[in-house]
Amino acid sequence: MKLFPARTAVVTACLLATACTGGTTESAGGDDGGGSTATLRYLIEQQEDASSQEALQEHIDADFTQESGIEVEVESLPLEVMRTVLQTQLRSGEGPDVFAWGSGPSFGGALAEAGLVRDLTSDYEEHGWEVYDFARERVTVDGKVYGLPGEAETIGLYYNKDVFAELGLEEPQSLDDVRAASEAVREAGMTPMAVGDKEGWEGGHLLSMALSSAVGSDGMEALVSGEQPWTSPEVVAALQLWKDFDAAGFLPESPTSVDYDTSTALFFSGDAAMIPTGSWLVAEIEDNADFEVGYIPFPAPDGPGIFAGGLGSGPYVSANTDDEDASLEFLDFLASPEHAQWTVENLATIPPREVDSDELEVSPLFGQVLEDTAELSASGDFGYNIDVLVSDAFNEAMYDGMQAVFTGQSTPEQVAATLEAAQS
Amino acid sequence: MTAPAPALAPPADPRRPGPPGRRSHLPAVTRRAQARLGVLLVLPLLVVMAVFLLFPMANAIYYVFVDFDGIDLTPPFVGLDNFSELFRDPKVWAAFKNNAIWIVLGTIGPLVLGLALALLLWNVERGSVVYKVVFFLPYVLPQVAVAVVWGWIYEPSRGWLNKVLDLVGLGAFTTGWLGNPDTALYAVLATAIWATLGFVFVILLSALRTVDTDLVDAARLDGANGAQRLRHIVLPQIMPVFLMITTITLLGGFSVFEYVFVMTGGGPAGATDVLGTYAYSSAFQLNRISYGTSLALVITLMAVPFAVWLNRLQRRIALDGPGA
Amino acid sequence: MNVTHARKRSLVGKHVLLVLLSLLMLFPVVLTVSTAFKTEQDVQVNPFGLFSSFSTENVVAAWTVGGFGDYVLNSFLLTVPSTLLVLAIATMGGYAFARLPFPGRDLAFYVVVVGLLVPFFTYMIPLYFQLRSMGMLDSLVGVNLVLASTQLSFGTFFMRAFFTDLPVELAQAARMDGASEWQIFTKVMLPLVTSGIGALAVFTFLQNWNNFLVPLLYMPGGEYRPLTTGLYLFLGGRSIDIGPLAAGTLITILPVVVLFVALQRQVTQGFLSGAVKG
Repeated sequence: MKLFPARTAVVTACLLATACTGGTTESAGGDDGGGSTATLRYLIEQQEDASSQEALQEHIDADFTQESGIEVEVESLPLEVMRTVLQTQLRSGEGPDVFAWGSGPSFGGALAEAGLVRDLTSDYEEHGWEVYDFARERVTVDGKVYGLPGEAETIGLYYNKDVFAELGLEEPQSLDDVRAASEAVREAGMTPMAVGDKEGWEGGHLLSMALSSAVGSDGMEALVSGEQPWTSPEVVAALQLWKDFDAAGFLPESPTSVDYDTSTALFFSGDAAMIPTGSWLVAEIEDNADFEVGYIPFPAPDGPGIFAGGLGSGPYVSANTDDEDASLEFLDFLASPEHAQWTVENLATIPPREVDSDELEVSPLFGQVLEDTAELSASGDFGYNIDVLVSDAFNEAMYDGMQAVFTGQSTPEQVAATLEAAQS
Repeated sequence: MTAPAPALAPPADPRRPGPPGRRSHLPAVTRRAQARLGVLLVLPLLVVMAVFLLFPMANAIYYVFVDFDGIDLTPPFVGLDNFSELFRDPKVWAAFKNNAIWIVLGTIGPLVLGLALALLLWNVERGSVVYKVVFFLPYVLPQVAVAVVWGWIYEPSRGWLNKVLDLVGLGAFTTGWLGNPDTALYAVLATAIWATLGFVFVILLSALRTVDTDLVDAARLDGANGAQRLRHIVLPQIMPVFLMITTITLLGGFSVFEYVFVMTGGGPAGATDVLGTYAYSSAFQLNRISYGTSLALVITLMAVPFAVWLNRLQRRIALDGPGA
Repeated sequence: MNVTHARKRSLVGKHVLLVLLSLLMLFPVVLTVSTAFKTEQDVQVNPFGLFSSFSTENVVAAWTVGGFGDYVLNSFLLTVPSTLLVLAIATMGGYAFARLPFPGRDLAFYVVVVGLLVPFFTYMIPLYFQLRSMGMLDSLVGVNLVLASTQLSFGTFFMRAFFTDLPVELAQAARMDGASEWQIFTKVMLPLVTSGIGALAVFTFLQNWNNFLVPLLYMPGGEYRPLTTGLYLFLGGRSIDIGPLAAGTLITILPVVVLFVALQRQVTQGFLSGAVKG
C-alpha cells in the first residue's frame, strides 16, 4: 500500500478492470483449455499510473506464467474500496487468492486476527524467502508471519541542487541549516519549501518526518505503542515546527489550499527549492525535473535526522484460497530477487530485500535511495511513517490536526491532545 | 440538481363532486376490472420502493439502536447512545452550523439574484431564449464537474479568482479560498448559488409572465415606483411559486453533500463539514455505520417538516394556479 | 421622446448586464474547454490561461488511458435502463393513482409520498449493506434499480398529474365502445400523455446521468464506473494530471450540454411542470 493516499482515493483507470467486463485480457482469461490449473486471482491496489498495472501483468505473464504454467490475473480496486470490500470478499470464498495489502493493525493485522490470511511462517523456511528483518517484523502478528512485506518507502526532504549551488548553500545537516537555507531562498524571491496540505494526508508525513528525526526510532516506537503519550513536548514541538516555518514564509501561502499536484508542480518548475515528501517521487523526478535533485532525511534539531520509513503493500495469501500450491508458488516468485530487480527498474519502488543496485538500470538518485534504504534496514535506525501504523480515527485526527495547525484553528498543544485521545 | 417535488394529495376534480376516484355509478364489473388493473399497474412501483427504499429505511431504524461497524453481523444493542453522543459531539454542532449557513444563504442568494434577473428579463424579448438556455445550463451540469472547475478557479496561485482580484487592484482580498477555514464554506456555497441561480430564474420568469401587467401599469400610472410595484403588485401574484422555490432550495440545504465533498472533503480540518459529509465519513471512512446512520436520520427529521410544507404549497398552486 | 430614450438606454443597459452575467455563467465551461485542449507542456506551466495552445492529446489520454471512453459507455448503461424503468413504472403507477380505484390505494399512495419526503441520506447507508447481502453491489441490475427507485416517487406524481388532466368522459366513451380497462390505458390514455412522458424522460435521464452518490457507493468495484464517479476518482491523481482531468471534465459535461441545448424546451418544461404541478 502506498503510504500517501490514505484518504483520497488515488487515481486513474484500471485498464484491467474495465477490460474484464467483457473480453479476456492478453494474459489471464477464460481460455483455460484442458486440465491446466485454474487462474490465480491477484488483487492489488489501484496504481496511480495505469500503465504500471499493465506492465506488472506482462511481467508476470512473461516471467512467471511461462515457467510455472500458472496463470495469474491481476485485478485492482481503489484503496478506499478495498477497505470496505476486502474482508467480505475474503470471507465469502469468492475473493482473491493472493492480494496486496498493507501491514499494521488497521490492515494486514486486522485480517490476520480475523483468520482470513494464511500463516506463512513455515513457508518462509521452506522456500527460503529473504527480506529485511524490520520488514518481516511488520508482517508478523503474535509471532506468526502472515505475509510478504511490500515495497519500502521512506519520507524525507528533496532539494534542488542547482538552486542550492547558485545560492552557495550546502546540503542541510540540521534544522538550523534548513532554516538558513530557507531564508536565503526566500530572499532570492522563491518559495523555500513546496508544501501542500489540502488533501490532508500530507500532514501525516510532515509530522512523521519531523518527529522521527527529533526522537529517533526508539522514540517513535514508544509513541506508536502507547508507552509515551502523544502529548509529549517533542510531538508538540514537531507540530510547532511546521507552524513556525509557515509563519516565517518558508511555505507557500495558505498550505491548506495547495494540493499535492500543485506542490509538486512548484518544485519541478523550480519555483520552490525543497519539497518534503516520499521516495515515490523519485520516478517523477526523472520525467519532470531538469535539475539535479538531492534527497536527505529530514534534519533533526541537533544534526542530520533519520529517514522515516514504512512498508507499502505486500502480498498475502487468502486463508480460503482454492489453490494453495499455486498461490505459494506465486508468492515465491514475488519474493525472488528477480522480481525485486524488476520492481526497481520498472516501478521505481524499493523492494524489502537487498538488491544489487550496481547491476540495475536506475538513476543515480534512485540508486542512492536504494542504498540508503538497505543501510537503514540493516541498522534498524529509522523513523516511522505514522499513518500506516495507526487506526483510521488516529489518522483523521492527525490529518485534521495538521491542517488546523496551519490555519490556526487549533494550537499544537490542542492537536497533540486529540492525537492522544484518538490513540485508544 | 435537487428534484422539485410534486404535491401530495390528489386534487379534487371539480367536475365530480364527492371523493375523487369514486365512480359510484359505474357497474360493478367495471369497478372490478379497474381494481384489478390498478393493482397490476401499481405493483412494480410498490415492489421496487419496498425493496430499495422502505426496507433500508426500516434497517436504518435498527442501525441507530445498535453499534454496527460494518463487519460484525450481530452488533451489540446500545439504546440511545448514538443519539446522546451525537448531541454532545462538537463536530455535529459545527456541521449543523454550516448547514444552517448554507440553508439561509443558499436560499436567499439564488432567490434574490434569480428574482432580480427575472425582473430584468421580464420585458426583454430579444434573445430571451438564449439567455434562458445560458442561465439554466449550470443547473443541469453534473455537480462533480462543476465542483472540479470551480476548484480551479479558486486555486490560490494559478486560479482566475485571485488573478482577477489582483488585476482590478483588489489583491488584498486574495486568499486560499478553499483552504482557508474562514472563506472555504462561502466559496463552496458561491459555487452552488452559481449553479442554482438559473433554475430559480427560469421558474420565476415563467411565473412573472403570468402576472397581470395591467395592474402593474395601472400602479405605475398612479405614481408607484419600481420597489413599490414589486412589493405590492408583483410579489403577491407570484407568491406561491416564490414560496415553493424557497422551500426547494431550503430543502437542498439540508442534504447538501456533493459540492462540499468534492471541493474540500469537509476540510480544512472539518471547517466545511456539513451533516451529510460528516455522516458519510463516519460511516464509510471510520466504519461507524450506526453513528453515520443516526446523523442521517437527524437530517431527515429536520428536513421532513419542510418537505411536507412544500407539498402543501404545491398542492395549493396546482389547485389555484401559479398566478393566484 | 425622452421616455423612449430612457427606455432604450435602460434596455441597452439591461442587455449589457445580461451579457456580462451570461459570460459568468459560461466561464467555467469555457475554462474547461481551454484547459482540456492544451498541450501537455503548456498545461503544466500555464493550466488556466485561456486558449494559450491547442492539442488533442489530453482528450485522447483521458478517453483511453484515463478510461473516460469507458465511463461514457457506463454512464449510458446506468442511465438508459433506469430511465426506461422509471418511465414504465411511473406511468403505470401514475395512471393507477389517477383513474383506477383499487383496494389499498390510499396506503400505496402514502408509500409513494414517503419516497418523496425522505432524503437519500436516510437510507443510503443501510441500502449499501442490504445490496451487499443481496449480492447486488457492483451489478448493473442493482444500481439501475436503485437509480430508478430514486426517481419513482417524483415520476409517479408527475405522470399522475398528466392523467388527471385528461377528461373523464374519454374512458367512458371507450368503455361503451367495448374497450377493456387495459385497452383504455394503452390505446386511449397513454397516447395523450406523450408530452409528459417526454418531459419526464429528459428530466429523469439528466438526474440519473448526474447522479454521484449512488454509483460511488454501490459500484465500488469500478467495473461499470460512470462519468461522475470516474471524474471524482481522477481528482486524487498523483502526477500533474490537470490536462487529462480537464479533458475528463469536458467529456463528463459534454453529453449534458448537448442534450440540454438540443432539448432545452423539454428540459425546462420538465422542471417547471415538476416544480409546479401536483
